[in-house]
Amino acid sequence: MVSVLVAEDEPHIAEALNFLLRREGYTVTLCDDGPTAMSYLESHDILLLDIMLPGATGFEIAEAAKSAANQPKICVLTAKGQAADRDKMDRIGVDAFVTKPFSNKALLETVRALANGRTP
Amino acid sequence: MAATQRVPIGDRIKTQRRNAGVTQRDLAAAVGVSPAYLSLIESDKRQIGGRLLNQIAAHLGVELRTFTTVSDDRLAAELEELLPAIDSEERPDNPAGLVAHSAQWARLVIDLHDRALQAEHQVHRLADRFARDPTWVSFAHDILSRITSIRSTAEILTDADGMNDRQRLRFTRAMAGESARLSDVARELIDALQAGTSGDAAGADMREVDAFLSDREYYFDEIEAAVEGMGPFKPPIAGASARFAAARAAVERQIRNTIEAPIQDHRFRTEGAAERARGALSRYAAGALVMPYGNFRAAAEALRYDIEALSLRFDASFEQVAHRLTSLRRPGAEGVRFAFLRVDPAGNASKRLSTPDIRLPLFGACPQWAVFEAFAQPERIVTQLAELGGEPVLFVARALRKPAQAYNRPGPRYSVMLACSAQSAPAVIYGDSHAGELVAFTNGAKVGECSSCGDTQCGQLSPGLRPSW
Repeated sequence: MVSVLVAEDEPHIAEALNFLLRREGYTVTLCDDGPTAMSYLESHDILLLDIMLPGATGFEIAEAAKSAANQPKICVLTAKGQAADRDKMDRIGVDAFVTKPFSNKALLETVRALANGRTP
Repeated sequence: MAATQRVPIGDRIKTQRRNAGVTQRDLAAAVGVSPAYLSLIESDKRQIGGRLLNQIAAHLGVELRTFTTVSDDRLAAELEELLPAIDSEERPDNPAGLVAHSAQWARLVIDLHDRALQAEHQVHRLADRFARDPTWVSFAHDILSRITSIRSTAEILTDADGMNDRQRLRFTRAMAGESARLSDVARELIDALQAGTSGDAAGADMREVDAFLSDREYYFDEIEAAVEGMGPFKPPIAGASARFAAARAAVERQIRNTIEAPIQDHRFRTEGAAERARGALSRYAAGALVMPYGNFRAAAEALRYDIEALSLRFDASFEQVAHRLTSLRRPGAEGVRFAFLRVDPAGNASKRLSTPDIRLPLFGACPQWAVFEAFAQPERIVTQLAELGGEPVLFVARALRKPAQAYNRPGPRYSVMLACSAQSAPAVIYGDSHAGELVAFTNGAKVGECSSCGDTQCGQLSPGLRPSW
């Protein structure tokens, strides 16, 4: 069973993601700050990462994920206007971007592709 | 940019002549020209001005203002300023003709241009704020987060297979809560945006007051007469600021109705503009009391418009004297005609008094102008020969600083500048240092207006700073 770590500090967004992913059959862990997210990286297959988290920047968490032994797939939840952030995340080597506000269908298709080892 | 066009008035002369029942032959004979020459004038094939126009007006029994007004010339000049913003293939070639045909339409065109310029500046200002200001970044993040959760939750509720009642209720409540929060954020954003536009309303008020003062050529005969009726001003206090404040209190107490009358006649669009105009006329009257017209004009001519010498003579500040010099327009007793500009170090104009021949911009003044150079040489008078509208102009500028509020709160800096036609420069002491240049003046100075300069090699200007209007 594929495990997803959702690093999102907006509670209602996190709750919606939790419901959607569990309904699709994924194991889900929620965390709402950077240090907690970094402590869970090595026990999950996919990281859904909001770019603005308290306690650590999204870049720090993404870099930590790239250095983790299990190399979780990284999907960043970002706003369209944050072009500079996307460029930086690209250089770190994230696997996918989902732009807020997203459709549930688009988000689930992206997670499905990552779970199957494909590039979204 | 071409020299300022005068509004063609031949048609108006013909109309007034016909209204008076006077033949072309009779009018020509009365004013001492041939009928053929008068016909050329009425067809706008010959320019007319000064003595002949006065004679025609007198013979036809009309006021000179019937043929041409300062406001008409100002409209024509302002239309000229719009031309660089229009693609050259579509550019009209006779803005003064539009004024002659319909001043109302001309005013509408200028008003629409002003609004477009305001809108463009507001867009640039808002874009900059959104990009850099943490407040706006926070707004954007908050709005995006609320919309994201509402959308995702709504889609979940729409496709609610396998959802129990407790879950459905929880998501419904979440969506209600996020919607309420989104409404709050939207309200905060609108309030913040509306607060940000208050400066533009002030800018529009300032432009309307500028036009009001310009139409009267910064001279109010009724106020001058009322001030003269107050008698000599000899307050038992010294110091330019204190004397001016006392003068202002005196005029507001004794000739309030005279100051108010032109404002009521004008019918300003907003109370804000009317209040600005009230303040301007109150300061005008105070200046007239401290520096009575006759004495001041005589001293100005004798001292060749030496602002510092006049400041000592009348115990007035540099800026008060500079401002008073712009009002030397009493018919038959005029002085040199000056335009006036006051800016802060950021280039924001806080006062602008243009003349029909010298149009000073509110936005896009050339950074090489003396009014900005003066900041680099505080407490010194900076003079400059510049080109404005294709004509040589003498600039005289000085940077000043208002008194400090407290030990660690220095007063704000600003710069004031007077501008006169280079033709008047020999009468002005500041023209002496440019005497050789005045004789040989060509386009060499190349210090014009940013928005219409056309000097693409100017190292002072980066592409992003050049306004598109």
